[in-house]
Amino acid sequence: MKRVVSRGSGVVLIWALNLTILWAVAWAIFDPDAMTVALGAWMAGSVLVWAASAWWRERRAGRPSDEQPLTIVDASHATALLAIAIIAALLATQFGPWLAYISAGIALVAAGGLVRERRAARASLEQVRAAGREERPT
Amino acid sequence: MSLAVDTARQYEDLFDLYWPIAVGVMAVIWLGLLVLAVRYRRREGDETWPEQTHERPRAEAAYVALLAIIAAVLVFFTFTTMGSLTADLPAESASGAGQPDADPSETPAAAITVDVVAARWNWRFRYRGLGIEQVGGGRSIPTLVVPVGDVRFSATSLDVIHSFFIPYLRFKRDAFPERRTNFTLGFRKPGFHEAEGRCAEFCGLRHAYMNFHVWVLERDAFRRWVRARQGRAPQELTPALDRDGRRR
Amino acid sequence: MSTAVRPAPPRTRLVALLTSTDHKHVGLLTGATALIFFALGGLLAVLMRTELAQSGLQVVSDEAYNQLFTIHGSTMFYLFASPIAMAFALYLVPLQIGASQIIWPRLALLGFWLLLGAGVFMYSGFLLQGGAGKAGWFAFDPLSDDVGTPGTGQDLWTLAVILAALSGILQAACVLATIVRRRAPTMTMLRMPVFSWSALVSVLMVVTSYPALVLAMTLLYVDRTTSAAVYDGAMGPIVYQHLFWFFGHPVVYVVFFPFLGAVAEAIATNSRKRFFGYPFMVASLLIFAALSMAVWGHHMFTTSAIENRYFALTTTAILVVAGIEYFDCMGTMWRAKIRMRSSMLFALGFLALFLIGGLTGIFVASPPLDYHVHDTYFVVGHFHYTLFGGTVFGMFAGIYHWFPKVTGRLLDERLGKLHFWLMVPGTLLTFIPMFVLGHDGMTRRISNYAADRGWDGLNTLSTIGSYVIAASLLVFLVNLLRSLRSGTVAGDDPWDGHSLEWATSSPPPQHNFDELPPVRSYAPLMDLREERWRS
Repeated sequence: MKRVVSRGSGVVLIWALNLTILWAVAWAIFDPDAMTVALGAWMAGSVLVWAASAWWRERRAGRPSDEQPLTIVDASHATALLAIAIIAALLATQFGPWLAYISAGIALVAAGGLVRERRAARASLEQVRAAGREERPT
Repeated sequence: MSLAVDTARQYEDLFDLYWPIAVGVMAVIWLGLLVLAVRYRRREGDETWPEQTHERPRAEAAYVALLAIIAAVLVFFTFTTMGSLTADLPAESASGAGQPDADPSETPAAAITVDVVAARWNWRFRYRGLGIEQVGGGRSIPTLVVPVGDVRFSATSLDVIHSFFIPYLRFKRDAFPERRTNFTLGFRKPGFHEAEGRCAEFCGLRHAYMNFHVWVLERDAFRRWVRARQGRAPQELTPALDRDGRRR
Repeated sequence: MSTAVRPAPPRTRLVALLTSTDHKHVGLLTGATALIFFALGGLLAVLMRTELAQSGLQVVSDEAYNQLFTIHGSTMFYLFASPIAMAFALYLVPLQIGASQIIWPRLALLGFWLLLGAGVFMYSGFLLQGGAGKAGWFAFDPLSDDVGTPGTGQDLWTLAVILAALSGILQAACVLATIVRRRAPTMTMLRMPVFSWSALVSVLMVVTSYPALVLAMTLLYVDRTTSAAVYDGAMGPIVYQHLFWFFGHPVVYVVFFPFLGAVAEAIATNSRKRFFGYPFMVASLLIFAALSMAVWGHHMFTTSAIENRYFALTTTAILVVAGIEYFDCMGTMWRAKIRMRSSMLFALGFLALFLIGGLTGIFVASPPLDYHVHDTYFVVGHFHYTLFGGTVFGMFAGIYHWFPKVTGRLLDERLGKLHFWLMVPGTLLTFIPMFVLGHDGMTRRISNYAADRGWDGLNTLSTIGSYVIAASLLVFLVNLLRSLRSGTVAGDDPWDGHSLEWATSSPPPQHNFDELPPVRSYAPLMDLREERWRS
């Protein structure tokens, strides 16, 4: 038990089981309406899926460790642009399609920015790794 | 007289079980907080660390068991009360609504059924089979006239959600469009309750003014009222009051 | 860009701040935005109380009043309480679990921007013809559809809620993923501090329940703006209520748990003892959060459309897990040497005042009692003790506790105590009369009530109380602004803290830690002290 709870995915799983029990109680003992059953199934089912995905990622990546270098993203202009595009797209439903075109334009620029940021992050990670290899020759 | 449904009585009985427990718990915890805060206050200049006790699993488990017992008692009495409230009937959609479902626990005394129709921002009370309709006017609110004893209600709405609320009976039920909400209310004593009924569900601009009077008559008086009322204009034969409760 | 010199971080310019993906910056921005909306929502509340002080209409019209309580409730939930809970989690959780940054930092930043959009949308309604949203913070269909409440203000309100919900989901997902994947190598789940646990259950509830709100509001928006009649028919309004309350009840715990965690940290630190009953607390938080996902139907007791017994059972069961929290907080104070700082006072205020909300919550969990008090001022009193007595008092305990970590300066203790000693009587005076009024049948969401009801006196008291609260918040504002500029420099660990955030500088450097102390329990800094005592 303690080993399960020590892992992130284990805790999410336990929570999912809690929800499943609550849903089962409603279903088995009481006489709930269809929406109660459906929402109960969503809450138990969706959390089970997250527990499974967390477990899968933990398995694949192993335990988090100090050894892996991390890139720290310090700023992202593209994200702010993306937010503005989303907000403009929602406003377009009120004020007409012209705003949707503008929004699409901003979104394109934002997407480009995100790709550039990702490349930069990968490049710096490569640099760190290369430097690490130089420091610790094997 | 005995009522099949006495919502006010049931409410008071249950409330009388809940409040002493709540007040007791509150007194214990407030007192406990006060004692702890005073007793274990750091003395001026004391820089030492206290003894590090950080668990008492047995005591805590016993405490959890006590809480579970309290919860079980409350749930038991709540369920018991609900069992005697005949109001807890399933709603049916308006299209399929002839008579409301027969309720086994209802007495035959519940002879009359009032169809409650809510619409922004007034009420309409139709007495099933009697050909009577009580409606509010532009400046006045309607009067719900009922005999002493059990009365069946079937509520619906013409627009948004409203809620039929009679505070002194400690009871309310929502009225939905295209749906019927059925419930039974028992009226114990005759009397006129000015602007006592109200809409409890927010329904827009004039929600605050969507009230109605409740007039409970002795059974004979109610029969006389019905005879006199049949075939007359809706506003007559009810105490004429304007919205602020003044007699016109 | 960043320099290696530690103690004085470079003063960040606004644009840099607004695009920063550092979890501390996103947390601060989100928190500051939330506090501004707290002030705006509070202003609306004072206006409402002023109108209600006496029977009759004196200050605003019926129409304006409906906008006031709609935007007050919406602001407090969508733009203040939920964001500030996420802000605390975003800022503190990575520090407490020894992470150098969060997972998906861009999503967290996106969340902040969407929140900003939500606020602008919601408040711009006041500038439009027809006014802002006015169908209540719950916007039940059909009142909220294009026939029930036409107008651009209500459209924008609906969009604002979608944006706010998305913002919450994004930021919660970041915190959740960070807890699962970015803990320091020795930081097992059972060594996480209580605050991080409380944040974890809170974000779990967000990612499970907020999608229902997005769905409900998107369908509502489609219903409003196209010819599709999504919520029509006999079942439509019931389906809407289910979707809404499936979000609408969990949210009150989403905004409660992190501050319960803050209170736990404040009590443990000021008591100079590690938190009492940790395994019970952790278990109770998990069960508490699960139960509170399964109680949404208690908002629908009077609809005759659901299984009231089930929801009465789950709701009443909450008293057991909530009781554990009290036991553990009070156990921490037992045999302690308590320093009565402002953070401790607010923590005690939280315990004392939330209790009123919790106990009255047991009343409204019982359908036969709820049939009377539902949609009356009794319920208004009840949830203001949970949200104001609970969330807001807990938030202030957290702010007084962590302000030195975040800013490097201490808040003024004398002003903090004045703030507290004004806010407590204010809270009692404002919300206690509501229980009596509600029990006497005063319904919610009314701008006016008849003079002959005898409700004037209690309403006037309540209004006076709201002014006292406003005054106490002004004291806090003064304290905040003064301390930001000229507060005493705090140092890394002014309180003898227990958890990792006190092991780094104040404010922490961009990468959070230069060196992590060993983690062997949920109070790693206490471990170090105890080691020193032993040697």
